[in-house]
Amino acid sequence: MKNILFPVLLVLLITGVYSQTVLLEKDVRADSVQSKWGPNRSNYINIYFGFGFFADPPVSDSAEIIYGKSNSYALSVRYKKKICEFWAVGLGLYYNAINYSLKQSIYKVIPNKFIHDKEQMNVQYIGMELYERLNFKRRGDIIGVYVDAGLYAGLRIYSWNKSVDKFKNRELSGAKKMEITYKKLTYLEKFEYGITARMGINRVALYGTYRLSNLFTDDYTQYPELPRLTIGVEVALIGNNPVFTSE
Amino acid sequence: MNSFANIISCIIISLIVYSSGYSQDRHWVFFTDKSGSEFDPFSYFDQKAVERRIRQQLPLEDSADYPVSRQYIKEVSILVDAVTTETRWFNGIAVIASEEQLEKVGQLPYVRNIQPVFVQTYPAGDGYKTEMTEKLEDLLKRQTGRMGASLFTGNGIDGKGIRIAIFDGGFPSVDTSPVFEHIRNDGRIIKTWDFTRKNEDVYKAVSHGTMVMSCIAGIVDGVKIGLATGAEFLLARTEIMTEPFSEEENWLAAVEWADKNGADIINSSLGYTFHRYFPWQMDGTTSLVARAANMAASRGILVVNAMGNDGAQKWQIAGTPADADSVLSVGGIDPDLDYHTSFSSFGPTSDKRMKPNVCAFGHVAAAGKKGIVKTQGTSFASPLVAGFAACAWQADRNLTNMQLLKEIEKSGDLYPYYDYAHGYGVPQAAYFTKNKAASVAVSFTIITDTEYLYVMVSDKGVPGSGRYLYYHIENEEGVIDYYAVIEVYREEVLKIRLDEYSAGHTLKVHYKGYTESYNF
Repeated sequence: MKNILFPVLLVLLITGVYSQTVLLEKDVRADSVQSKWGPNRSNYINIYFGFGFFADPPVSDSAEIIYGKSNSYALSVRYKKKICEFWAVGLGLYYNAINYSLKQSIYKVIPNKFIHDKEQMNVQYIGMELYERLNFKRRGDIIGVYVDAGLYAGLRIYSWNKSVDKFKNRELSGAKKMEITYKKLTYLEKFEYGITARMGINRVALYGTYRLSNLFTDDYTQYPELPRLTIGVEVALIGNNPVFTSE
Repeated sequence: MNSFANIISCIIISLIVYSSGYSQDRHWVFFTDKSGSEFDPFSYFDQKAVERRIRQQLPLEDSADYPVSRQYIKEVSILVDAVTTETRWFNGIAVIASEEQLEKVGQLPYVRNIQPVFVQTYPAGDGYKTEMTEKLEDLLKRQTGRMGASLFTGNGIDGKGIRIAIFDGGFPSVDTSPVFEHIRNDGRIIKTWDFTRKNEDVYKAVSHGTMVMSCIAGIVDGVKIGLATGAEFLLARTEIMTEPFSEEENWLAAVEWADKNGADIINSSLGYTFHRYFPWQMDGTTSLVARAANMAASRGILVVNAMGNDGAQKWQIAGTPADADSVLSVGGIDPDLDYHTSFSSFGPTSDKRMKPNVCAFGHVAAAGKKGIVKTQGTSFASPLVAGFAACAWQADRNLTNMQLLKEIEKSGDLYPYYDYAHGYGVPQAAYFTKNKAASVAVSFTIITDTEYLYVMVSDKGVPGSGRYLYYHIENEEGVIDYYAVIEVYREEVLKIRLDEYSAGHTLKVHYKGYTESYNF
């Protein structure tokens, strides 16, 4: 067996090396089949990353957040079904991580009245969105200029609250700072829902979401609502189209 | 909070201005007739434009040459914000107007149609330094040598007497660079016009046009970059930036300007693709620029256009106006591999016409703004062929533009073989200087048995020797269903089952200049 193995392998190697090399081939019939998938075709799917900030004022002194440090990250997969040249409907799945940087003041009540050097509350959701799109202008196979309006609903999957206190007298405390994290917060509602809107050009869009649901459960009516309106920018992660295309 | 709100406000305002500024202002208004217009071809046209028509036995004038009605323009201008361009050929004007204004314009009895002006992107390929590396210098010589440059040069053919219009985004350094000194010294830049700024200064902005022009007629250190070093030029700036932006109305205006000023050839390295159209619209008649290119051809102008650089993208096929029937569309080949380069767009058109017509190097040495550079794109294959066309036309001035197009196809080194990547191959000067061999040696045989068809070669190469066999299968309608390029290093190059294709299909094979067909 071993005696014939080497020659067989040699023959296979030689024939492999000397088989013809196809440098270019095109099946024109297959290439002519029009895809039903594309930015302005019957179906389209893309992945979006969005980053936003809160934009509405606090309802009271007890609900103040540090706006520059409070933010929202969202990763979405969105499918669009074209109805006609200017109208489409869509369905999306999202993951949203919201970060509230709680302002520490004498009015603070969330989640308690203890004042820290820094305190953050993080809430993460997965959910679904339904939307309608209006496109403007005739275009080729690009996303184009559009406005979206939709509804979203999600399930809270994780949350935490972290406080940070820096010790002034480090020798006494034996440490520079103390961080305490509470996880799986029980005073938060399990579900969220709201409305969303977007205005975009091709792969970039300005978006806004308004949370209609309450953040805290009915058992915690003493907690004032935190800001509901988020405004941000999102980018589609897939596509050959340039970010900005003049029309 | 305030600074964040300000940032968001700026983004919102920018998006609104960006989309509105580009999305709704400009529209074409086409009229039903040219009431009251008068026209005298001898006072309107440049002498060479008149000569072109006489030589190709075309009418000196037709209704398309008459100007747009002054009365109509005057009445519409009252209703809109501005009139920016007029087109004689399509009897219309471009206006800047709101939707309400357009509604009033549409009610005028002599307004036939209103449609938006398209402004879109078309990405393509990129003390004056003439020093080059050895590799670059080699490429420089090969890009014209591949077309048989020495045969034109040896016969004193350099495009003399041919007027070439170039449409591009700018021509910086053309007025100062030593690469174009021979053209400037002879006063052969006949006219220039910047259609974006409405003045004569085109020697500015991006250097794409400079590189394109060098591939038509540049000379560096005595070496030709392009073939038509003796031609005359009309330079038109039609784009705000280079190929990222291409303005339809400027292109249309430039074509009519080129016709008026006696252009024999137009080189236009631009195209519209997915931003404005779908692949099934690449039928040579849907887009305004394709129709304008056909109109230019009807006036005896040879329009040479790049196929586009979407061969490796989802779009894949030619853009427009490369899809136009009367346009000489040029694909790109790799100078080292000598077959299709991956980015060059493929044919056919959506109505199954063959494109490209021919091909040339898609990677070239060109004169940029500050020196000689290596660049790539079918944008540069097109001017290589435009320069070739000028030389070919000088060699036989009695040809009409469409006869010249056909002759250039016949000069292709694959002719009569063709496919949708290479067209008829790279045009050869030998065809026009009567140096083409009278016959070609048979380089393969097609044999069949009861089951298979075989293509056998006697002169096989070794791997890497660059011997390529081209073959395609045509269907009953003469449209290629399948094509391929094979590197040959076995005697039995191809084996096809006879029952794989029904009667009416044809196999066409090309190897080392010899072409043979087999009918299934």
